[in-house]
Amino acid sequence: MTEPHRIAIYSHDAMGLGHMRRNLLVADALTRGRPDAHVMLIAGAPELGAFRLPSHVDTVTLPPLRKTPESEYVPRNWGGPARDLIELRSGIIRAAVRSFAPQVLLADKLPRGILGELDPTLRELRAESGTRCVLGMRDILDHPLAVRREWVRSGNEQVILDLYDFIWVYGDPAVYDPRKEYGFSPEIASRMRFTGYLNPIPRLDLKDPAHRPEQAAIPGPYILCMVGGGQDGHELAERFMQAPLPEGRRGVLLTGPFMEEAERLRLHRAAADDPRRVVLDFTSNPGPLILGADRVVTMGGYNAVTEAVALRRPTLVVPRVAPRTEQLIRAKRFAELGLVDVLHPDKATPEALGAWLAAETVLRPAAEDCLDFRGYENLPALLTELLQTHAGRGVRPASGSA
Amino acid sequence: MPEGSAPGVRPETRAGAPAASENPVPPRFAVFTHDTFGLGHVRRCLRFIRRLSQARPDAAILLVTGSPALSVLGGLPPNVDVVKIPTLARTGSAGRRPPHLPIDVREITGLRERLIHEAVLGFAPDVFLVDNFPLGSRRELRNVLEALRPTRTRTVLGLRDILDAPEIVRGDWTRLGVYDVLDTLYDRILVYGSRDVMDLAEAYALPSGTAAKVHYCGYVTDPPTPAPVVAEATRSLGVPDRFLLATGGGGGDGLPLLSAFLEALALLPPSPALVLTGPLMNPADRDRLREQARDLPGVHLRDFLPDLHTLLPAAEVVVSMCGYNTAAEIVAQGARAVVVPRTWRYGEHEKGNAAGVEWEQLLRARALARLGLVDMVEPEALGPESLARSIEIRRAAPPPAACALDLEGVETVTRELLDLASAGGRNHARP
Repeated sequence: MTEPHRIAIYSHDAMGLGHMRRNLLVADALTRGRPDAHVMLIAGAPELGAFRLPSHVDTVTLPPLRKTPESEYVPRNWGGPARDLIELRSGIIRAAVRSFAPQVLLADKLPRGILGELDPTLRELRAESGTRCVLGMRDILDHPLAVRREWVRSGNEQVILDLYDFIWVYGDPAVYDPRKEYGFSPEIASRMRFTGYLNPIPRLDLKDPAHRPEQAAIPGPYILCMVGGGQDGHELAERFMQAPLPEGRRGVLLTGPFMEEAERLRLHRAAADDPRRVVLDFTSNPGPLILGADRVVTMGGYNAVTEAVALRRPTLVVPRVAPRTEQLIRAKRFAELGLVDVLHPDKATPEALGAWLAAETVLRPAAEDCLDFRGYENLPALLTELLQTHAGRGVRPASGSA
Repeated sequence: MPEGSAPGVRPETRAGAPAASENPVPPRFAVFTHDTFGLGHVRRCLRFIRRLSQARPDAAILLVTGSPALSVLGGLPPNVDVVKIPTLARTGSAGRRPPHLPIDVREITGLRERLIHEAVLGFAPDVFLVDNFPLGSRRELRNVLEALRPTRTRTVLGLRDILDAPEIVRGDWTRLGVYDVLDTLYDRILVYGSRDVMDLAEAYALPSGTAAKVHYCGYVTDPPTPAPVVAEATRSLGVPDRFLLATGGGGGDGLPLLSAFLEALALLPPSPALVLTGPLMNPADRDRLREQARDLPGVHLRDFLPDLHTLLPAAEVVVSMCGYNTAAEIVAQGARAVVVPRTWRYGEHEKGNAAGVEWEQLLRARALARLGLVDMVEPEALGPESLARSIEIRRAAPPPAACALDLEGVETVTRELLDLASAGGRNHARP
């Protein structure tokens, strides 16, 4: 296969930076495993500019929307109604994909994009070209009842049947099997491929001098607390700031870029009065900071948990439990495997956090011994499988012209 | 957000600016900036954008650019959105290239053209400002500008004070059909400069119809920094009272000058110095400078200072190239400066002038030197000795003449854009 392969990735990015980070890792896996491939990453938020891009990857970024706690999408900056912004985004996505003419479109998580913004692109691809469409998703989306309700309401199953060739699930069915948990139809289940968990180490430059703990003015041993993008992390952040620290340890808090300004400032003020506390707002590469920590306290996002276990830090997960239970489910499954400890946020008082920090730790098993952690390595083969099938095999005979 | 509701932000009240009540429909502005690898174009556009946003917090502003540099330049006002399109890799050594798709440049151009078209036409702005390159790269804007013509969008070209040697610009513009585009597809041409430095209509031989569209707006830069702010800036950086400052601008091609500066330091009486490499300097170049600076006491290397202008007045002598932004900052801040213009093509300092000569910085430096605003070292004379000598002379000489140049570019450009939006745009038919 010598012709260069083109892959477009759509990342909706309405909630934090997790999807964006994961899609960058996927882009890296797909291009590094196959030097003949290149990727156009269409990201739904401008923060993509803060990350170092793998080679053979370029970006189109769109004006962002955000998802409110009531699960409504509203423009982050745009003064007008969401509808107008969706129309603009939809047009740009369509123009980008049409001009780039990729062999593969990988859409992240939302089969129709935000508020259906991917629909025109998907329909056009299915009608006119041989582009294979893949949906990429986490293994755990939410509580099964919530997922079923949402999928019925949004018509996701039919869209997948009509417009997608495969679903890549970034997980291991032995840990969580969405086919069973979410009761997907056999047609949907048969299109699912499990990539394995994406080991984040390739995107964590552990030697990156610009992101070393010393650069952040952390002089000695420390405990790291991470609260994801920060949009709902202030509670854990404040409790961590009040938790008693073990002798000789500093407490380092990473607030995330989306924390409310007032909350962020309150945390900074608290740290200013206490020489044992450090508050950092954002790092594009948390690798060295996690690696340097004695222990990690974190919310339960896919990236944070895989980062902590990949670097084998003793980790306490305090998951988000509302409006989605995704993090809670992940935390429990990883705890059952012995990879992390878990504490429900209702019980995560400063004293409880302090008790965990003071307790003795034992060496945890390596994640790769407990679950399939080879998603990064497996993706190129899945890409090959995809390229060897005809687009639209679900709706047209495989022998039909692509 | 209703006009004036943001704390501390008042609507523009200068003469000529529309009061919000006269124009109840929130205006929309689209800005396109070319992604040459330096930071200059994006930084300049961000100044207009911030000022526009402040003057009309109800406005919607869309920045369309291929520049990957946006993230290093800090936050955008809340009513500003960005569409980033794929980056064009300019020529230059591989280590210097921004991330890009390894596909044919014609194809990338086609891709960019369709994305710009979709974004700008979809946004339907009252005013579309194109920064410095009338047709973008490889004529990518031609179709967009044509498609906008029958709409009510007013099209504005913003031009730097100096583009290149007049005969080169005239040749390029003839070859690319720019004269026709200026005549038929642009409503106004705003010059971020002064006729005292270069008369564009004359230098580029604009026909009278096009020349009538030209408005000189003054240099786009920050106002002079008040003394207490300068004092605070030096204190917070921990620099001593007397120090030399050398800057490599964006950093993509600062190595030759900064390296010569470090060698010159060895020839001068010991003096503390701050060397700013620029965020885009490649790591190998930066390592070389760090190595060179190691044995020089009191010399500090930094990548980037977001508020460089607040430090300029404090330096005994500022050593820099003569790109638009740095030159305007030096002049506006009344800094004592020695400038060494770059004449090689951007990012090709290893090849020197073999890759072709760019006259922009040289012409600017000569004009500013003629006005008594900077001292200059001719680029072919650059060496440690000549630089050390110029620094010594500059240090001992009186401060520069009071600046007679118009430095109100940000205000004037913003006012022009607001005027165009209220005179034309969606509320009125094109005359």
